[in-house]
Order: sequence, then structure tokens, then C-alpha cells
Amino acid sequence: MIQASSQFTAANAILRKEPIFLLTIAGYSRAFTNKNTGVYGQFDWIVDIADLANSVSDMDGGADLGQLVVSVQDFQGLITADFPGFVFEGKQVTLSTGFVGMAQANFVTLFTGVIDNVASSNENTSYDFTCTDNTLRLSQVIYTVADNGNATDQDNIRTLNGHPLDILMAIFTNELGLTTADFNQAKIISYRDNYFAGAQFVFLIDSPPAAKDFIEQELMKTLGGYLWTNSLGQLDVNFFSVRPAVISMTLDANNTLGHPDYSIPVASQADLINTMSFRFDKSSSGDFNAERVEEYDVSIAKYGQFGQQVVESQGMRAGLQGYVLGIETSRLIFLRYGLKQLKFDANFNCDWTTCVLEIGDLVAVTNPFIPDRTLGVMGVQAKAFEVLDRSLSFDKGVVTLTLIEFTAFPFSYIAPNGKAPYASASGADRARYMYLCNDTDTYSTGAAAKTLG
Amino acid sequence: MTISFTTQPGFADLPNTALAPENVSLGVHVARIASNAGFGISRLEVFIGNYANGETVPLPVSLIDGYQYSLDELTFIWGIQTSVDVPRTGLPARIRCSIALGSSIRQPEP
Repeated sequence: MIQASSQFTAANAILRKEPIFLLTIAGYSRAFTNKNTGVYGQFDWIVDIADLANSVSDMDGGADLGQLVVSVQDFQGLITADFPGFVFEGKQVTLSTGFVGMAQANFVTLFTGVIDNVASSNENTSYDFTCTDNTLRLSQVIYTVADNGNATDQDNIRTLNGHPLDILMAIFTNELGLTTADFNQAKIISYRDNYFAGAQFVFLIDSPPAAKDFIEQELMKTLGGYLWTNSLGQLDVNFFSVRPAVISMTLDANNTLGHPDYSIPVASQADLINTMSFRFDKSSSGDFNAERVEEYDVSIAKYGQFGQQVVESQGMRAGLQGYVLGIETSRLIFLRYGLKQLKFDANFNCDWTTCVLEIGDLVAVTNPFIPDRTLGVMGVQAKAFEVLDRSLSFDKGVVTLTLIEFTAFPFSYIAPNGKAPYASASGADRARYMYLCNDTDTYSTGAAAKTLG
Repeated sequence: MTISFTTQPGFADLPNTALAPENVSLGVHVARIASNAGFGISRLEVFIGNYANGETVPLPVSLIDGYQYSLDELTFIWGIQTSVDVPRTGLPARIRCSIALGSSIRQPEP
């Protein structure tokens, strides 16, 4: 979720509010708003802000952040007069939002990118500032130099050997020339050192790939995740890895839109994936020497249907626990798509309170008009969903979400030295820590054993 | 005692920090530890032998646990040691042993 101050959160929670949008261009003397702020250098010339959509292709390792198009009135030709002395194209731009009466230090950033082009509109009385995100940088071809200094080709190989997330960060900094502020370094390092600790890939590259293709196909898809751009313009990552169900926001009658202006969110089912094929150990001749096919027995027994996803990885190696990683990623995908999970496909409309949600956030849905297929009743109560796509409609003040059902895990933690065994442990310790169990999956007290995350 | 693996073990250098107290206990880390242990037990074995024309390389038996390897578990790396018919007579295969010779190794697909 977009980080917000307590002042913004409190003001955002009020249903009746007047949003202010502030468009700031790096190095430019003017900033544009949709309302008069009374702040020197800010001009309320914004005519329109087109919808901004962020769509996720989680099974393909990536996401697309649409263009931000802001139409600004050329008041008295003053913007035109600025053109000879300022080049807009390529400049960093931020769109932040707050509310009338709020200090601008408490505004939150909804979009950060660069100006791609500035077209005239409205019979040349306005300018449309079209802004894109950092993913344009990912079209660059990488690993053009082989180990021996020659151009990379079939006779001159570029070798990569390391943790896949170290390889990812090296692409950002060494190949693309990004700074550590251009990607969510702390989050990537956290995944590297915790969930994916010990992972190691070996690539023998004989043809320089585009960065986007390589990252999405070879790193994100293989690890079970996707690359996206956050509101600060940073390249960010989300993985399917098991995680505690930390709910960012509750979507209920207070913020979910419905009749008469909007339809009730209609629940569909996610495409079934209950068979995963991982191919790896790629040889110099281009063949994959190892393959692991995982099937989700529970799903197959329940539906009698099959849905397959194939991952071909050039970097996974059997000798470096490629099988373990393949099985683990398969399990995570089954938890996400193996049981025809509920999905709201770009039809969950919310009010502007939810503008701070980002893709990957968890929300709790309470809605009396949505059937709960697990309990067999009409109405869901605090059911966990993950945000996939998000579209901001600035003129209507509406946020449209794609949500997919989230499978929560009961987490336990590794106990420090000195903790008592289960039978004599305190209730708090029993709830928090993991204990060894017997062959029948019970503790010595007869209680059912906990499961690993 | 027979140990069987459902997957081919491999090695991953799982840092101690991943298993520090108060971290979430994750199945993937236990799987990595188990795979490391399996990798230590069932390490790569290398068998060396000299063979002459007309002989068939026998399937090797593990020196660790007596396991009889099958053909699809083996990778053969071969080279010519000498043109002398060593295992049989120790004499040159032909009078005036050739310095360069043609050879043929038939290796069936598993």
C-alpha cells in the first residue's frame, strides 16, 4: 500500500472529500493542479487526467503500468512561452494527491515517471502531457559482452552464476545503469536473504536478450513472481511466496460501489492451473536435460480437469536444487490457481478511499451480495483477496480493482534457545513457535502438529 | 537401510541467518536442508576402467551402498589411451603400431 501520513489516512477515511491533484515536473518552474492551492508556482490549469491502469500478468512475470495523460490548459499561452527555454520530454514527473485544507507535505504520490511527449489538444488551447514509467528502460538489450570481451554469440558465451535476485539487481545497476533509488532494493534483498535464501542459477548466454524478456521469463516467472512499477516509479517485485495475511484495507459497504451507478461485483473463477512442468538444466546445444512435472492431486481429484503451465528455465540447475525450487514454485502456484479461486476481473469498483492500494496488497472483502462458495451461503465476511489490476479514474473518483482469492497460512516462528518443549511450553509460546512432532503429526499432548509455511 | 529420493538432490548454501530465531519457519528451507543432506549422501560417483576392442562396459555398482546403476543414470566420458592391445596381449594390435588410428565407440541411447 502507498505509504501515507496519519493526516492523509484520517482525511482519506472521510467519505465526503475534495481531492487535489498536483503534477510536478522536475526542473520546471510551474506545477499544475486541479484546484487553486494558493501556493506560489502552482497553477490550477489541469483540465483532465485520463484513467491510469496498472495490469498484472502474474503468470508471465510482469505487469504493465499504462500511460498517465494529463491535459493542462495553456493559460494565456504561458506554457507555449515556456517551450523555448525548457524541454519537457524526458523530465521526471510526479502526480501526488491530497485534499482541500491539507498541508502538501502530507500528500501521497500516485505516479512517478517521465514525460514521453507533449501533444497539443483542445484546438491547441491545451497540452497533453503523456507520461510513462521506468519500464521503458527495460527494452534495452543486455549482456552484449561475452566473458572474453567479444560480442556475445554462440562462440562467445556470457556466463552468469549467482543468486537470481543478485542477478536481477546487477541487471538494474550494471546493465541498465539504474541507481538503487530506481528499484525497491530493500524488498528484493529481503526476498533474497529470507524466502529465497540459497537459490543459485547458472546461465550460459549465447544471444543478448532484452532486459524485460530476460527478467520476466528467466527470473520472475521461474521464481513465481512478477515485476511491476510502484507509485514512486521504482521497479518492484511481488512473489507468490507464502506470507502472513496482513490486510491493508477492508472493502465493505463504506467504500465498495454498487447500485444504482455501478454493478454489484460479480465473482468469476480464476483459470485453473493444477499441472506444472519445469524444464531446466539447459545444455549448450539448447536442450533441457531435466524436467519435473508436478500435479496438484487435490485439484485433479476434485475437478477431473487439467490446466498446465510450462516454465522453461535456462538458469535453474538440478545440482543447485532446481528440483526443490521447481516443486516449491509449483506448490505456490497451485495455492493461487489450483482450486478455481474466486476472482473479480476488473469489476470491483471502490470509492477514492482505496486510491492508496497497490498491486499485491491484501484486502478483506465483506459484501452481502457475493456468494461464499466455501460456506455455501450468500455473502462473504472478511474474505482475503489480493489486488492484481488497479485502475484509477481521476474524474469520477473511482478505483477499479481486479482481485483474486488469497490463501492464508497459519505461520509459526523459529524458537530461540532456551524455550521449553511443547508439552511444558506456555500458551503464548505454543501459539508462536514451531515444534517437532511425531510420525502421526501430533505432539506428545495429542494436539495436532503445526504445519510449515 | 534403504534411502530413496523423490527428486534429485542438489546443493544450496543456506545461510544461518535464514534460520535465525524468530524468523518464520518455512517449508522451503527444510526442503533445502533435506536436499543438501541428500546431496551429501548421494554424491557424484566416478568409475574408471580400461577396455579394448570388442568389450562392453559393464554397468557399475555404487561403492557407497552397492546400488546397481542403470544406463540412463550414467554419463560416459571416454578417450583413447593407447593403440596397443593392452588388456589382451600387451602387444601392438598390428605389427608396427600405428600412431594415428580410427576408432569407433558404440554408445546406445538409454
